Amino acid sequence: METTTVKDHKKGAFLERFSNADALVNQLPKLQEEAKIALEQIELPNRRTESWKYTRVNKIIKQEWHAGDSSIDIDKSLFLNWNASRIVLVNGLYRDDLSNIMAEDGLSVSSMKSALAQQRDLIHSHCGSLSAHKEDLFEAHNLVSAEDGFCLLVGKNALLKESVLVENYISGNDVAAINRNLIILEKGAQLNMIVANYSDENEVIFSNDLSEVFVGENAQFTCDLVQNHLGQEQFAINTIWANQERNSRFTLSTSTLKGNWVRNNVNVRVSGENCETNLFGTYQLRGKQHVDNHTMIDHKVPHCESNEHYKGILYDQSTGVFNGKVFVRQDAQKTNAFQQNANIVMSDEAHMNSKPELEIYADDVKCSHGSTTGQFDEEAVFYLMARGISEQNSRELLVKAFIGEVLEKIHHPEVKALFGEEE
Amino acid sequence: MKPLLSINKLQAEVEGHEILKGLNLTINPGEVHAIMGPNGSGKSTLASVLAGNEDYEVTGGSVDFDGVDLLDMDASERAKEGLFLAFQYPVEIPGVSNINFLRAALKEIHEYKKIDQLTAKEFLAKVKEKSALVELDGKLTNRSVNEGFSGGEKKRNEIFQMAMLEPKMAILDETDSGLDIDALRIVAQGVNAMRSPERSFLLITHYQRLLDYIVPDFVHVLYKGQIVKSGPKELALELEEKGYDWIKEEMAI
Repeated sequence: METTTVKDHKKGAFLERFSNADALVNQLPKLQEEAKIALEQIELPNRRTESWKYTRVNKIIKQEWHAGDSSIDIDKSLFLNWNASRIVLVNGLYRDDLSNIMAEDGLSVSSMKSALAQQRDLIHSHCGSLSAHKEDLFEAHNLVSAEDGFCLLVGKNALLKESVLVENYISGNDVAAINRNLIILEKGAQLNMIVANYSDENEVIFSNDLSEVFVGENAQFTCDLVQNHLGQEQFAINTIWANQERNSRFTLSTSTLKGNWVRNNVNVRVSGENCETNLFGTYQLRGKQHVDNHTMIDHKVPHCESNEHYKGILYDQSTGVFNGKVFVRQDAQKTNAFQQNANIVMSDEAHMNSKPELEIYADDVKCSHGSTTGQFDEEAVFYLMARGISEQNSRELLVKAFIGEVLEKIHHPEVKALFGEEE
Repeated sequence: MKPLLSINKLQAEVEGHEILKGLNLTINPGEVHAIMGPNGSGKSTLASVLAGNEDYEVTGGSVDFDGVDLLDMDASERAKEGLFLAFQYPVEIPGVSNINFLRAALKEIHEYKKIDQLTAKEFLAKVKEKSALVELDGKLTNRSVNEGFSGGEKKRNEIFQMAMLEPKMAILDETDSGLDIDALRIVAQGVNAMRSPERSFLLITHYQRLLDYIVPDFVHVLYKGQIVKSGPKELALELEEKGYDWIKEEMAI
């Protein structure tokens, strides 16, 4: 009994820090109630919580977080030469002054705050309709705490020529940044975007970033997510929920460049026939980095295809987690689902926990999954060295080659360039 | 004449087993030597040790390669000095294209030798010329190293790489094993085209057949980690006919 009380107290103290009179959810009473109930009922994740088995949250719960200054200047962009639309969030709030939205037919962008004021019906019908705030503590936490975010709408049959860049900065000490975004592609729309999340060295931060993505019928959505959290005491949770209508395509790449503690949740519900879903991810972990990629693809209907490919290299004392759930429901005949997670562990002290989980209820499907975690191929190193390439260059060449299979799937050359790829 | 390669009382072991037990061999510039011998005699170990494979531990002896101490260098430096090993089992390297890796190798070799880098155009012309030499399809030169290559294509790719890198000395470790006669002919044609008064070859083989196509100056028999018999190319024919038992018997006396 005593333990339960202590836990409840910890959870209560954690949530108390985030009580926010300006939270979006205060104007969404139904969601607010759902989240409130969830937060009362859901325990803090621990080792027995299946979805948090290998990722510890104690430090997040204990830390005395406060909201950051959202009016500060920022200068850490990885995309300085970007000359198309740019959305900038600072410490969870949308910055009108730093954002720059190009006038393009069919594109409308605003902060969640103003969307809630001006497009009330749109927000009411979409916000919280995909997310798992009833089941997951941090999703519920996001819902009750988020004060802002961006809302991006691409109208019917609008094919955006230029990509949209979203930059999300978190800065300050003991700063928690919570934001919640909506991305809506109407029927036949097309959107390519880059989302980059940043935090500075020597700062202790926590971010809980959640996006709900609605991919309408025959719409095409491509997103390259880049994570660059430079500090040693930083905790980043990034959650994406997507729903696909028929004949649509959803492609997401996740590149964790830097991040001391990163948890990515990518969940895609495939609700319409003839959809394509592509999830790619790379991570190269050093020091004591911990990166956890949880993915879920839910095939509900027939004739859809999903490809999932995550590749990582673990050095030093780093730890990695990959958990890939794929559901193929009874009606989802003729599904092609492919999942692969491959890792190279470069040190005796590094650990990788990789778990593919396929649940297949249909009988006429093609599904495959593979998980490999191994050492560096020393024979290949010797082969390259025997041709005159130095040991260091041989190893670099092989690392690049290993990751390269996923890198080549990244849509934007600007993102590929972050890996030192020559174009 | 100053020898190109002189191996002196070379001893090497792998996982505590001594394989080479004081091997001596001298190869002069322009010479082609063949090493034959029964399974387990140490042929491939010799090739690996010379190329710098660190799975093998050298426990004694010395190797002089054109005036430098070969054993003091790592595999990459040996290659830069002009030593080439055609692997018995070429390694598949997904994601690294044949072309890119050869470009990287040539770049480092040219830097090391302080000679001008090839221009992109010169490099491609060279690729075209050398791949034609071993009838290697242009598509294969662009693919990942050895990935999805047939056995014969892998061996031809080894000779193609040799032709690109133009070493002073090439060791061919059972390059003929498992090749059909057409592939063998192509491989041999590649090697013969590269023979020159400065370049030497060490052919490690089980089969005399290779030596019909690449005619050696000397044939050696390796047995229990030592060269126990050397002779002219006719020795290979004798070995083919009589096997190795007579050598073992000679040794026993």
